[in-house]
Amino acid sequence: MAFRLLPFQPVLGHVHCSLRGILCASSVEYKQVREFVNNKHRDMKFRNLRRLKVDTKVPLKYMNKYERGVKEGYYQNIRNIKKLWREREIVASASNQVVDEFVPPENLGTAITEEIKKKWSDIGKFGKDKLAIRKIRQFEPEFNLKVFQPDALEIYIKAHECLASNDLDSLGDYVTEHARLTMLLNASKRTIHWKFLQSLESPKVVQVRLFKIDEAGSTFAQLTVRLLTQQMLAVYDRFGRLIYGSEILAKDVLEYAVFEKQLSDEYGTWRLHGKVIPNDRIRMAEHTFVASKEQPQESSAVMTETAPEEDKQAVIAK
Amino acid sequence: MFCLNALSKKLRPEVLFGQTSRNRATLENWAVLVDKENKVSRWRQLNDQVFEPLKKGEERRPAFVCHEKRDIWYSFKKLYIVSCFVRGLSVDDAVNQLNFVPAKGAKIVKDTILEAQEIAVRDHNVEFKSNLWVAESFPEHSYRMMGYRRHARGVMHPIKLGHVHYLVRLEEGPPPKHYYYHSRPRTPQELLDQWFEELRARKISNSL
Repeated sequence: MAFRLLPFQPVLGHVHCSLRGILCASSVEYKQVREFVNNKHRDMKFRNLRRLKVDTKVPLKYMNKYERGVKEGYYQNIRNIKKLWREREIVASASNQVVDEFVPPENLGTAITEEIKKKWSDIGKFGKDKLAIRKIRQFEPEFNLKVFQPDALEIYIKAHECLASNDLDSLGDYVTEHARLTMLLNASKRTIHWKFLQSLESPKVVQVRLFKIDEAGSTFAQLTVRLLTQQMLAVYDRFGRLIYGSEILAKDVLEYAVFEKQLSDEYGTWRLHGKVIPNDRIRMAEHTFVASKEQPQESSAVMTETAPEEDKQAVIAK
Repeated sequence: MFCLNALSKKLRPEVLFGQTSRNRATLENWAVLVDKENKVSRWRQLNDQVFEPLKKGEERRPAFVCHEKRDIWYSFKKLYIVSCFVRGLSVDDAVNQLNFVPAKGAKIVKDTILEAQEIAVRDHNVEFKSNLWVAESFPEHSYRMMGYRRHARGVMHPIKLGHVHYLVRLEEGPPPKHYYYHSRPRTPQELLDQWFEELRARKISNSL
């Protein structure tokens, strides 16, 4: 390979040799750019013609399986069309939303005022909750809120244990398809150490809702349960580095978990569907990251400084 | 028996759909390599392994990413020179240097490094994107196609069109001072031992 130093050449591509000198003379900037000079093609006119001599077709051996099948008419046969378009059944075993999301009280601590106590003790006696529980009893006559409350905590514990031990087969028994996506979103390639220590207060049902997805009549019920528990959580990276939490520290956790069941299904079970997280308590990012251009940050130092400088220059010019 | 054989020949799928059995075997093998959704190459499978949590007092494990570019029409030897050029440099340094290399391989190497940098920040918990260095970079042979060059009087000359993969591994942290093992700094004791070994290994001609 031969290298030669040439002056800056604004035109891209291959230029005729005689033009080079003219272009260099006309260009004002003289930058030193290193360029590859090939000694073979003295006259660039015949470069393309030489290339046409060479044939580089893709042989059939290296074509894709389906590409070749379509080309040879293999997939025109009706029997084999199923391989391309596979039809699958759709089963609505879970909903895609949290209906009429519960608004937790502003008191973030563990203390419960007497007003809130009254509300929770009266659940199932007034309003939407009463109607919903009455409808649930049409499907299950033995349904009782007091019996359900300790069961909800067991489902909650088993769902998180399955996530920590990466037991995805049995996760579906305790978690709906909607919650499965959000749980496994950031859990891949990470080790999670989770331990349930104790429940500080007995779990309480706060809200009961009932709704339909379609007109055929598949009804769903959603219960939001208040859980005040003590837990240990430590999340590790792919390389075994601690990202969040610690192994030693026990934390009091206040959560509003939503449980769901398809009532019209005979074999439906209560499963964890989601959590109600108020916007104030969403955790900020701990790492530095590059903000996207669509969401510009608040007024930075650079923006404020540039404006007065321009004014100064304008004044000096005048 | 004769009739049965003739019938079976007609009803064979190879005859119906115009595929020979030998062709089909090669097709399936090739499909395994091409189908990227189900099959990931062995180099990129290294990104899936999960390490155990660090114990107390253990050193922080540096993050790494493996990335590659497959089936490029380029010569192995030319890419090997560029890939060696980048080894042991930090990512910003390598990209700056590659901008001044007038070769096709420089663009291939630069693109894979920048792609790997993005993946490291996105998926593998690397905080600062310029805190990476090129730990491994090397080419690998891929398939080889046959092209033909036309000569005068209907003479055809075969040309080998070699294809190549490029593999790279980025690691977190500052680059080491001495990348290669043979260029490491030696202690005086090591140099002394080496000198003694050389003396003992020598042969004195016409001796016992």
